[in-house]
Amino acid sequence: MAKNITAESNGERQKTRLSSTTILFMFLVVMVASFAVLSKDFYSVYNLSSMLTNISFSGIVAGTLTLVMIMGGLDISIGGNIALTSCLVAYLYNLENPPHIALIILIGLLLGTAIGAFNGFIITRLDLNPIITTLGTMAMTRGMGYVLTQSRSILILENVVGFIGRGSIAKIPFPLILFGVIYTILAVVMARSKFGRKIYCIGSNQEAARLSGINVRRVKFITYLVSGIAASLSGLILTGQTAVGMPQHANGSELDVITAVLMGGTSLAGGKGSVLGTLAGVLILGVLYNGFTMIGFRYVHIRVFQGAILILVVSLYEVRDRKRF
Amino acid sequence: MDNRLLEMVDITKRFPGVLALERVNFDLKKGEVHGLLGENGAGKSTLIKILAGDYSKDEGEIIINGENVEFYSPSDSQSRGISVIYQELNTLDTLSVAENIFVGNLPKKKGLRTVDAKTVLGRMLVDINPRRIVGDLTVHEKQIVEIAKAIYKDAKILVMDEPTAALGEKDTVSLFNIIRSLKLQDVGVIYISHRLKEVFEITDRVTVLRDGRLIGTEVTAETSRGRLITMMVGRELKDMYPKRDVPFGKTLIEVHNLTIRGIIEDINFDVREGEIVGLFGLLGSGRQNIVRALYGIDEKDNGTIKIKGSPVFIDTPAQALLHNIGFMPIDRKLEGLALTMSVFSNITMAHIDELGSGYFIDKNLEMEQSQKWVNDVNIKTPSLETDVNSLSGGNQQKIVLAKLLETGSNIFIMNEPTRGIDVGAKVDIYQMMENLCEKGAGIIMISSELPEVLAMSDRIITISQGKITGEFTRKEATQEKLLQAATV
Repeated sequence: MAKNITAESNGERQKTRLSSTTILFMFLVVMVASFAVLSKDFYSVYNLSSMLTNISFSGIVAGTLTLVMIMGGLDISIGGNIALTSCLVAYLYNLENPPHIALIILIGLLLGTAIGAFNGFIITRLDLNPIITTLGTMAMTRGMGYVLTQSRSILILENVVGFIGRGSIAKIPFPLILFGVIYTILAVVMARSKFGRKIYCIGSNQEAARLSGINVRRVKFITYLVSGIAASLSGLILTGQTAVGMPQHANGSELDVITAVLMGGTSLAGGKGSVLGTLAGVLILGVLYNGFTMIGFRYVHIRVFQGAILILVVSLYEVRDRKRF
Repeated sequence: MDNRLLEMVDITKRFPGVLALERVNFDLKKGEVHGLLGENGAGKSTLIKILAGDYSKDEGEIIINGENVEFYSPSDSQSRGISVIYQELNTLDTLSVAENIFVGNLPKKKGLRTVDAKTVLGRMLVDINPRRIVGDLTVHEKQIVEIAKAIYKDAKILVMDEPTAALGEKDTVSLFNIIRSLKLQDVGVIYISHRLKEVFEITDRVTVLRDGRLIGTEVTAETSRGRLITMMVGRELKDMYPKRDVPFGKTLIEVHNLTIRGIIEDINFDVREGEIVGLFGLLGSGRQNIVRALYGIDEKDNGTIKIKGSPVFIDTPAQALLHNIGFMPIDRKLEGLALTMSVFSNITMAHIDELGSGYFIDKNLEMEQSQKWVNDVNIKTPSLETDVNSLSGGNQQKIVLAKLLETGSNIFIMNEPTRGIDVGAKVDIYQMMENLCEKGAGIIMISSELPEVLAMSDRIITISQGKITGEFTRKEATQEKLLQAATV
């Protein structure tokens, strides 16, 4: 029996879930193959590597958001967090006497940590609904970005930040390395760790988790904290990729990130889902945008496809779940 | 002319890997109350869900008033005059009684609602103000609203699934009066209950299912309790309560002056090794508050808890577990189980931090432990990975018990340990309780079922209005004494 349990499962994925993720990856392969046939440029090392680099920034937050959503929560402040981080980093760099760049990056990450801690505090101590809480934080952070930059874009031509967004180690883009490392950690945490199991338990039945002696507040707080840190890291990557800090960065990205997580099979009600599923969701969205662009569709068309595919995939999950009865 | 309302003939239903119903026959006459009995997993729910149009049958026929019918959805079933009142009531709590009764077919003129609602309620000989908001009603009143809803839709066949599970004695009497008034109006009632006493009181005939098969249909007046039990469990249940003589050891836990202002006052008691102490009281007596405060769920204003003589500080469930106190919540679905998770993760849920050192779960240890409890507590599950959602109530309750045992506690608070489960599962749970006592554990048991309290407790403490009103040894206690003390 124990042998059937794959690294990703933590036992929470039933056989149906397992095959759902497999199907998603098969779907992905079909997509990649079709685009490769339809467009010569799609299946090139350059294109694939730039595509993967482009999805890294939203992919990282999708990974941590998976944890939040499995826990039955939600964090829609990630977009604002990304923007404010980019603004703050660029602003500090352009001061007359800028601090050392290492310190600037640290402050950027601390900002995300603080936003995550704020969300976590409000949600766990005041027991506020996570959607309302992070909706508030979303507006606050986005607004603070505009205030800080006086609604302008601030150029930041700096090597270290540039490296985070565009650099590479042994020809592998640095954001992609971050993406890979973070997903590996998250997948192992959710599949094997005690902390991951507690997240599943809280998402499945918070009251039962509490009566089982799980420190619900602590687990929730840490998860929102991690989501905040990941968002500021994404902010750094985006700042490096674009070389500007601006309050419009990642505008509306929270919805795309939620789309990826839901497509990956995580339930909005909590208790179910997997990091591997989200990885498939992120890759499918990335390939969708890149592939359709390559064969001549425009962004506005692809938005329509994205919406349709989300509804299609999630309704397939529903059908599967109901079939069990 | 045949007065049969409903005939279900040779109903067969397969689920992946399971034959849920095998050629089951069932019929219902006009004005009859027909009891449906069986252990959990016997197929009662499946049969009812087929009748309600929730499941489709694989084989067999449903005949209503002599006409062969096919149900493709619940609305097909409803349009044939079938209404099911589930244990979990489906009332719209923010609307009024009248609005609930007419939901789906509201009369056009506003004024008519209350008048019509009064008429419908009057047919059941009850008097509830139709303007009241349903959220403010008692469970029984909500149930009445649901029955009224069915009557208004002109239901001829009414299915009641464990209708008395959440009712007190008075409300049960009232419910039975309503059922009797419906009988007179030719409504047929299918009555599902685990409580044999009620089955004898209200039904005309009883059908027993076991393992998806029809065991038999009996005329209630001509059968006996023992016969029905034998039919249900397939063997003679010589001893429903396997109470053993366990010698008591040292005092395990002492509760001194436990007080929550306005709710419980100055509660003192202790539990010894090998002892089961029953806390008996009516709904709202404060028995829940005592154990919840004891386990650190609710805050207490005053009180000392001593374990093996030394005072301990318990402010959260985690601290209680640290002091080897395990807690079985009153409602397994709301507070006990993570329904979307597997059997093994539910069993180890209160013990995650002990599954291996460091940050990671020792998978082998976890599987070993879960398998051991599945065997020991006799949990019937296809595998350790199965969602607990898909198991029967009795097996779910056993998982809650296994979860408690996995914590390695030696003081157990058991809240309604056998609520809503079948006889076989009950006996399994009693056996485990006795095993625990033999190993020197102490158990605090809360139960609303008097026979269970009387049979399983070594000592019984009665609670009324937040105070202890009596203490009886096993020998002293009788039903009358307990009820008297609990209603002071």
